[in-house]
Amino acid sequence: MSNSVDDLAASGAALPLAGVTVLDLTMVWAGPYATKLLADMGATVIKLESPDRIDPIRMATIEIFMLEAPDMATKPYNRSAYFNEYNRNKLSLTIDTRDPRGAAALEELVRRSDVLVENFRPGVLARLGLGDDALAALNPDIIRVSMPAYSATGSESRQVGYGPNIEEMSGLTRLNGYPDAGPMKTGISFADPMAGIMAAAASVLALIRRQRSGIPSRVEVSQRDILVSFIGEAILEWAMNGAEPKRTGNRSTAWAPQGCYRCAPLAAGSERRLDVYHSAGQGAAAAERWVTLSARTDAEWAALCDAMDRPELADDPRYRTVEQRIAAHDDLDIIVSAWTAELSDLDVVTALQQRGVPAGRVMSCLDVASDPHLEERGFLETVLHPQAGETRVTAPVWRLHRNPAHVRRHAPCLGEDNAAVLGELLGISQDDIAELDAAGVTATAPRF
Amino acid sequence: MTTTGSDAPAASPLAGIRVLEVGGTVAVSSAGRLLAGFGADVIKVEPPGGDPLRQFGPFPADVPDRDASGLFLWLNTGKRSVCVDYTTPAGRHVLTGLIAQCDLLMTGLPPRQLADLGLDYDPLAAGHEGLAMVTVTDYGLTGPYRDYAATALTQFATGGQMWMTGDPYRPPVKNFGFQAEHQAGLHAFGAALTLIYQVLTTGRGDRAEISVQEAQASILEVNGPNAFNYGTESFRHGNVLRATWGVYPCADGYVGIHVLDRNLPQFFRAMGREDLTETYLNPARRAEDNDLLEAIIYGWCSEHTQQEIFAAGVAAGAPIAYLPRLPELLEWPGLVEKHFWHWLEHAGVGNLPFPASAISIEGARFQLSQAPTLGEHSADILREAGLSPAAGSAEAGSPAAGSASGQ
Repeated sequence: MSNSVDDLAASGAALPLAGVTVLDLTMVWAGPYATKLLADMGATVIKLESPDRIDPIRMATIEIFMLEAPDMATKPYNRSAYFNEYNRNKLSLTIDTRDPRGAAALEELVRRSDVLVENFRPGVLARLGLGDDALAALNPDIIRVSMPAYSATGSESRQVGYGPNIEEMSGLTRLNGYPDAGPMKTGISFADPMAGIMAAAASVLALIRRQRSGIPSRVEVSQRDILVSFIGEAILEWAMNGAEPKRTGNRSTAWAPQGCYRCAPLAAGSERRLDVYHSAGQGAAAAERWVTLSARTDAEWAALCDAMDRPELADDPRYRTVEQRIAAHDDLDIIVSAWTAELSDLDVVTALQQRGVPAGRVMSCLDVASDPHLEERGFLETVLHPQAGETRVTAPVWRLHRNPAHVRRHAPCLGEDNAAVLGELLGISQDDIAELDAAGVTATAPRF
Repeated sequence: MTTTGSDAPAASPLAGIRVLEVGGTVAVSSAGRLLAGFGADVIKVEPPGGDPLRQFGPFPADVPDRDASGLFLWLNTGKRSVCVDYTTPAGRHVLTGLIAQCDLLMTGLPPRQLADLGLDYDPLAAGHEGLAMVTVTDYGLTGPYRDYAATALTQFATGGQMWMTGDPYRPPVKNFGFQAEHQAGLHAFGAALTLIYQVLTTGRGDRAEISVQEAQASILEVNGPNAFNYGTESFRHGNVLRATWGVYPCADGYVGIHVLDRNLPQFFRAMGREDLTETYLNPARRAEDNDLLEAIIYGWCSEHTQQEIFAAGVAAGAPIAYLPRLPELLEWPGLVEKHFWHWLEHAGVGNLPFPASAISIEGARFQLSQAPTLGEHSADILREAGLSPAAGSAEAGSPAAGSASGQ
């Protein structure tokens, strides 16, 4: 009978990171997103959980969000769409490392791994017995990638934070928002996936360094520092001119009109079901449709006027130059809104793109799920999950040309690969594996 | 790909790796900045009018100057610049010659222009088996939106994140700057390194295609997976999702309180309200009293400064942040301690701060030098490549029509 470790490795044998083994100690989003990118590129990723400390995202399922008492017999921890998106292409080992036999297995895994990725608070890895010296003693070639919110050492090592905290401390949140109001946080926990991409890149950078110099790396990826580097023009504006940029929201300082305009709502009866964060009274909101557009030049302004069937506006002396249009932006917003309000978002985009004017609808999550362009590109792939059934997950976002990467395997159920990882990878006998299972050192269900 | 010395790759992991950047965008430029910092020789190919990003401010005293664009300077530290008019046959010859000698080609050009210039991977890789290539485009190299025009606003709108950003009773709102492109830029950096690793281990190159739209749409937190699988829609929440998850105004600014169940005791300790802990550890009670708890938190914040609230959070071990102003970032102890800021003197502009990488590797360094002026290294680069300057390198000329996506 085939085993999951070799099968998964074989399916990724032509991918760039084939042969690289990653020990994944991360949980929630930032870390698992990092190892998801590595798994997508062919690395063998072993996700380590403990029976009494599973990845909390496993429990982020619809029925638990709704605060209904989950029926644990239905194994909700294996069916979370959230977990199953960001953990596909990985293997799951669920083992109690406080038991000496579990700790020994973890040490053996460290010996067999190329990269260890962790997103604990600073200091926790050492308390788990995997501090720098211990790691080097177990495996002198191992690469260790840590992802502190701020810094693992120094004055910030005691600062804790989640994605939004990090976005705020980076300076980005203060710059976001409507021009006439205060700061606005990003709708997603923006810092998490950015840290994930950077930690994946850092892992590969360390693999390159080890390949070329023979030296393993201890790597730190500061999540906050990533977002600071995303607001450079604001920092240099301060440094050059002593001024902090004003919030511009959807407008541009360089051209006009530019904005986000309301379109005709979805037809009655086709409103969408809002997720569990929302009350029923907000149902109408999900029928809202919005479009964004930019007229960067006089020619694009004329093309916008043509699309609106208002050619006379292109010659209107009040709006002739970009400076005039910026000054009259509020008036232009009224004119553009009157046009878009009667049309569907797709009709507005099509009319403008045919004329070379930048436009895009504000796509919701359900729009992403059904967008014809994304569909033609195979943005979503379907994978059969043993307990969730057919699941739709995003295709690898680094699209390779010669050897395209795909979703090769469902996100593992809790402990699904215990026997395969312990047996095939670590060489533990079937009898010993059965004994670990019977003793509760390994598990396929959480212990709460 | 060769090493330049026995210990060079330890200090500079990408030493000796030659990267060509064609078609300036925020995404490609930011990926190239990181590659250059870790030792790659990154050559920026600019058209006669200069990279389109040079037209974007900020500028000193708000006076446009293509050698003093803040956006360009920030994203192009550590690189060299060659000016090539690749719209002419002679310029195309130079470009082809440069590609033949690079390890990694990164392009930010739109698909149609890539095709017009013959920058298809397969013919380029014929005879150059180890060529790595990364393309970043707004919507990818295929599909109905392939040739759609875009700006930073429309990019952010079509990726799914803007729909969830803003107040529920106002329009969705764009993030500051070029946040869609920055996401794609990190992906371009990661994909480029992955291909370099493949070439090192197998000798085979490949092309990685990054779509700015897909870069965003693939990270819609829980909301994307729920929509894809359960058919539920999400919406925007403004700054406060629930009492213990939001941005709050305080006495002199704003703070961010983002507390999960397990941080509640620390949070109430930071507030000096341990008396609330027992009641509100109960999630049902917390939901029922959400408005009351919000009022309590608004009240606490209104009576304290952001520094006081932040310090209370650190002391109690609670995840509380504040929203620093830009000058505070430049003096932030945690950033200063690790030498995050590198101050570089720019002629006629002054001494300006530039960031190191968020990645730090023990024993390796991140290199920074001033972003190049347009065509600053043309002669050197062409000589090294054995190409004749007369064969198509261009003198810096007047600005070409910009293809960059502006704000």
